[in-house]
Amino acid sequence: MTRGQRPAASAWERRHTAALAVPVALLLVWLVLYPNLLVLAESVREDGRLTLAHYADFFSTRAELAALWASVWTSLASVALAALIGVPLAMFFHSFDFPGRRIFGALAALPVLLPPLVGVIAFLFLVGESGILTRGVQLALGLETAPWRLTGAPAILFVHAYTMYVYFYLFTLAGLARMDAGITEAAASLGAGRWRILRTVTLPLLTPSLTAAALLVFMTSMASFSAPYVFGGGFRVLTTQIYTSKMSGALSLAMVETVMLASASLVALWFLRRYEEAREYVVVGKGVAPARHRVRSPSVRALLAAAGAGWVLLLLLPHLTLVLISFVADGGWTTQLLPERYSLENYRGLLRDPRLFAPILNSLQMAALATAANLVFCFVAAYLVVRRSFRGRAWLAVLLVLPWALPGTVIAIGLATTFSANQPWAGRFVLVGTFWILPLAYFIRNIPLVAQAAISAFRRFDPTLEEAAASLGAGWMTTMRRVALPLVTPGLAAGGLLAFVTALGEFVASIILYTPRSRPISIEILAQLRAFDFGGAAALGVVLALLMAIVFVIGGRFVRQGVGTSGG
Amino acid sequence: MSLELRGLRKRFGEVVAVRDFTLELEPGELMTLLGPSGCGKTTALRLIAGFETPDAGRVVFRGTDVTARSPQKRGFGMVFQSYALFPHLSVFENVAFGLKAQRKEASELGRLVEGALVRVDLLGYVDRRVQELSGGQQQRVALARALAIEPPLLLLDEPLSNLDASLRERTRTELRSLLKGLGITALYVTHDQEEAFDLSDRVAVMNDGELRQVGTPEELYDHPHDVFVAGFVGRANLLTGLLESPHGGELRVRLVGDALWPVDPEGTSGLGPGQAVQVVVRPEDLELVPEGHHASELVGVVSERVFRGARIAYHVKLADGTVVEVEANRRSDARGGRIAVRPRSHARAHVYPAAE
Repeated sequence: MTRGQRPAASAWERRHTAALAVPVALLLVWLVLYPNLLVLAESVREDGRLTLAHYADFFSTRAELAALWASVWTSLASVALAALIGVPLAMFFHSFDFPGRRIFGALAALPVLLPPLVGVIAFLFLVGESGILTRGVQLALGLETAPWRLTGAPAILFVHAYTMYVYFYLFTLAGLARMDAGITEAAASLGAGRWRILRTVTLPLLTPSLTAAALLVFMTSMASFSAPYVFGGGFRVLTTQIYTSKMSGALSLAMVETVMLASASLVALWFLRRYEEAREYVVVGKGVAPARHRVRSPSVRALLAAAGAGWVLLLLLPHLTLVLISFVADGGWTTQLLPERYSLENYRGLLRDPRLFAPILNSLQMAALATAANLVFCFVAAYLVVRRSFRGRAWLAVLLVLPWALPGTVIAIGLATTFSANQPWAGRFVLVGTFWILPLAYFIRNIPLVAQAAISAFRRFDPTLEEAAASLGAGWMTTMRRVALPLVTPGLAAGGLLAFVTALGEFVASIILYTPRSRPISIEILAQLRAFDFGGAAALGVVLALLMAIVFVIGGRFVRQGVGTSGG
Repeated sequence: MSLELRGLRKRFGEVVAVRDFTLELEPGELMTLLGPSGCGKTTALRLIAGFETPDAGRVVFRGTDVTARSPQKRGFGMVFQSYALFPHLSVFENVAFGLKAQRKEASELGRLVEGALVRVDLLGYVDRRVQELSGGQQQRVALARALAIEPPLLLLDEPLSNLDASLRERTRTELRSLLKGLGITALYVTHDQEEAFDLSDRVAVMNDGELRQVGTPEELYDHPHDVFVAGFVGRANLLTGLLESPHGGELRVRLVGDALWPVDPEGTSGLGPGQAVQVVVRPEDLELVPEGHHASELVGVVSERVFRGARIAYHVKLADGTVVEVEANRRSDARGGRIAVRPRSHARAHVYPAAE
């Protein structure tokens, strides 16, 4: 009856497992572990000798320490601010039932899907020096100059809070949904008032969800590059400091900075995993559906609906601004509050100018390549992790999540280090400067996402189905093709879609690794911004968002159908 | 000999799931592996199917050692407890799965699938999705799928345990006549003794990873080899006693209160007078009589009366607190007061050496 572990696999099964596991493990070690080890090695080496001199440099340079400190404190502040927006928002949508609750509740989670760079330029158009809101305040108060400048730490925190609240929002919603309504009802029956229940029952029970969200925001914020890069100015955090060091040729220093950033992220990952293990004991109750406060009075309902809608619109305002600006032709907006002339010129330009259109094709092509590789690789890797037992399986699983924990900047520096030399015997080839480096980076960055999707897809279906196929005489390949593949396809495809969309808008690794001939959309957006062609940048941003939406709609339908065929 | 299992052994970590497992199946025989949950019967079945590899022992089929063969090369059909129907395939495609793996021609494929579905009376459901079927129908698709490949041996892992009681009873007689009609050799795993008796030519009782007794249902019921088999196959009273041989004649057992009961001579070799033994006697082999100070009487008080339809079970509490179950027909009506329990005229108690 004991089925979980199979200590004595048969000879054919062992051989077969090895034939699959060895290539998968080698690839992971080569692409995920090895580049980071090379970075570590480079950080303690000078002219072929071991030295800690670079670390001494780092810790004795004021600017370096300032960047490290800036990364840490802005991340902590981002956690606080994101919680301040996300938790009340979730409680609001959880507690009250009013018209439009579902749609606005879903919209509130939108910012997490948009590529960070697009979000960042959206803020620029709304509250940047010449943004709509900034002009509005300036006009209203009759000021000579803009009332504020969107630079430095406050700007970064503003953007972080505005985009990362989603983690708190979603985790709180999930936590509340898991919570047994009976518990709060019990507290109420014991005479506790609303605030007392919130303080003494709800929040303590939400602690695990909130902690997980906090760690995620911390990691995301540590890894954040777009906001500090666009708004930071003289204010540097580790990610932008790494970029600057790399571009200015201070390679050893860049290595040390990368090691520092990677270590901080890994520590956060360690805490997160520990917390998730502990969390399993906390989930209690059978999940009686929570009673949502159904508001009867029509006027209060309208008020709540308006509040919910207003709140969400406020959160989506930057993105709406982006759409608006994309319709503003060059010179169509000078000093007025809102642009006066709108046209499709920017979009026409995209189609007409091959220089602008090429990046869209590049991104589609590179994202498609990376995602195809992700699908094949992660299918095999997930099969191994879920269905086979072998020595080192736990390590394989760790390598599969590692790229998720490492900031894009760290991965990019690792690849730039590893694949800029031609030493085939050491697994190093010159890929930097070629087309292949970015698809490779996208592939690595998205391994965790697709692998996780594939792993949960494999966990969801009964392994006896594979045994049934074998008992009917089907060999391993036939079983995979005719049973496993159709059954994991919905989950795998969902992961693949998300990976494709992420790769489409990837910026952080791209900016370190791209080659001008095959530059992706994000780099072109930045170039437009640099050339003060805001309309062009906005149009590209909108096209990117639209491409993602199309992928989601088409893909979502396909995935749902797939789920339909294998449901049961 | 169709299937021979020679000294199979399988360990999972600290737990030995199957040990010294030796069993032989005649061609066309319907054998059941019966035992409580966790006794290793499913592991034994999976060792035969090839999903597990034994730590020791051999699986021999028609004279060929198949221990090292992968499941798909053994070609044994298997019906799973969960049915394991492919949810993304229709009824037809499920049944055709094994035939396609055998690369059958399309025309032949259709004919064989239809044949398999006719056998289980599901021909009208060819194009249905398997989720649309009831539990009983799904079970029959699983059977049709396993039979379609015309396996030389069919393995069934508690295939009826997910059906409700009345359907289960009906299905097992149908299953027996179907399998007997096909003349297929089959090994069936269950924890349900009634099911085992209804279905099988022979039953192999397992406990704690070990085979305890193999025999026809009658053999098991009338002559259980040990206390476990006696208790697991049918209802049984378990008492303790001391063997005697009054006047040097046949063995008898002295129970509490000095009652002397006759003993089934089978299985008493090695046992002699003066030996402490465990005594097993079935409720229907006992009867209730008014206290009469007879040598074979156990005296007690009726503590419970359980209605079982045609019969009534009385729980009689003896002086030392032991409770003995007696099954009587409905007319007898004992209530309260002291009463005597004694074996019916031809009944014999089974005795086993007392556990140390």
